[in-house]
Amino acid sequence: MTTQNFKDIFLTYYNPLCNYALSILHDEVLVEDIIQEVFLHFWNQRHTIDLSGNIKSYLFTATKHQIFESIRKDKSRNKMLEGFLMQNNLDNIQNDEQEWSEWVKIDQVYSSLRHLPPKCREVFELAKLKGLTYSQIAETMQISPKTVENHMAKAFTILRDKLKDTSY
Amino acid sequence: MSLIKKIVQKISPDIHEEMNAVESWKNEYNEQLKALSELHNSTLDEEKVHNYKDFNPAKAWSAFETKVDTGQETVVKKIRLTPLVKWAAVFVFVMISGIVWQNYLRTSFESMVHHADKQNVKVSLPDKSYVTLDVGSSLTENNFRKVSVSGRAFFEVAKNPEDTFEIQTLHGKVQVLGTSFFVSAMSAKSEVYVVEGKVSLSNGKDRIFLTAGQKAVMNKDTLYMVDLTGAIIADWRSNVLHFNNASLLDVLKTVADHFKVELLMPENAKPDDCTIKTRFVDAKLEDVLKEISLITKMKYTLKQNQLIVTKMGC
Repeated sequence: MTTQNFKDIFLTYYNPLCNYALSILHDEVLVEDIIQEVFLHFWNQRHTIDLSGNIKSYLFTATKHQIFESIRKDKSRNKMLEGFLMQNNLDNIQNDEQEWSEWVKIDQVYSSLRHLPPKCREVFELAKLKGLTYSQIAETMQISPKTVENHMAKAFTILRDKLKDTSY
Repeated sequence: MSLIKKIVQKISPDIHEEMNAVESWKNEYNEQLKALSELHNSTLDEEKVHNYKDFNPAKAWSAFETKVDTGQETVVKKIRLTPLVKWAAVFVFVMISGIVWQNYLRTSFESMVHHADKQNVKVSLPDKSYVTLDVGSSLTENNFRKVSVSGRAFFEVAKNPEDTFEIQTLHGKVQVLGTSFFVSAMSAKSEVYVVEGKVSLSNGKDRIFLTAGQKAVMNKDTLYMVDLTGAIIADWRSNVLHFNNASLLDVLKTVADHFKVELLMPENAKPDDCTIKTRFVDAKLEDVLKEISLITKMKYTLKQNQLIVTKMGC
């Protein structure tokens, strides 16, 4: 694996992994530390790990272990540990896979959004992520409902193109 | 907003207006319909989407890079200089190198010879490089960052990207920028094992580059890299012997070499299929041989500086 390969993987999975960890730990600083640890480990083993299979699974599993480790270290998080264990013992691996894919997918939507023109993006986010109606958007942004529609149409066109090749 | 408009809105709720908008949009853009349904059918958890935080991967990557050596070549920044500055730069450079060169000449490099008689000697060189000499080995300082060696030596070369460090052996040249590695320059061949960094070897005919963990053998005619899978690591500095599935013959040769005894083998001795896997730290020759004879069928006698092997096999 070249350094460039590694960097690509890092940049692709950084946000999904952070958000996955954040959904359990609710501590942004801690979460970023954890993901750095995960990649540090990955870096040290990059020559020995067989990654022909699934990088995503490897990284998320490593993150899960790291989260577990950090909870274990911190006694004050004992309650959270119980919750985490409950959830993770009951869940089977397939659910894990599903959840991981979901985090990757959400990130893809988010990074696709970065390709939208600013106004267009604002409209789309209000509509799809915040759940506002078109007329509410028109009112908050002080534009006509027709413009909202146009923005949405444009957003969908761009997003479809961006999301087309991503497989999930 | 007028009162009438507000009333109308109450009577015909938002949903109608939205439905109409979506309906007209559907008609206008049939293609988008697909995209819409795709997005609607996707099972993204709303809570997750809502709480999603955009971290900064680029920033995290640069933090990560400082923790590991990603081994990337440092990109040399191109600085545009106006011609005058260029000349000035050349001049300053020439001046500086002139001064330095004069200093070299003034001290007129005395060809210093270091020799390790009874114990390892650590020699520090003017460029702040260090050389640890094994007993019986010698090092000659020919010039600034230019030495020749005979016998065994461990080099810790001070980093200097502009000035290569050169080691002359009987069989060729070893060039480095800054690193640490073992050199064993015996009468028959020179061996180099790199611990850290990058080293270049040339014997006048061929040239190879070694990086950390690689070993090469050089004599006047040949230069080749050694496969370390049947790895033997003999670190005489810390007196460690490490055999990883090595053959008995190789083990005995290494041991004899390490403890500087003459190895006498039975006449019919030939490469064997023993796979010896063991490790000695700071062990005496007697103990090493005892253990080897326990795990193989090897029989031996030790006489002064001679190790006489009478039986081989495993």
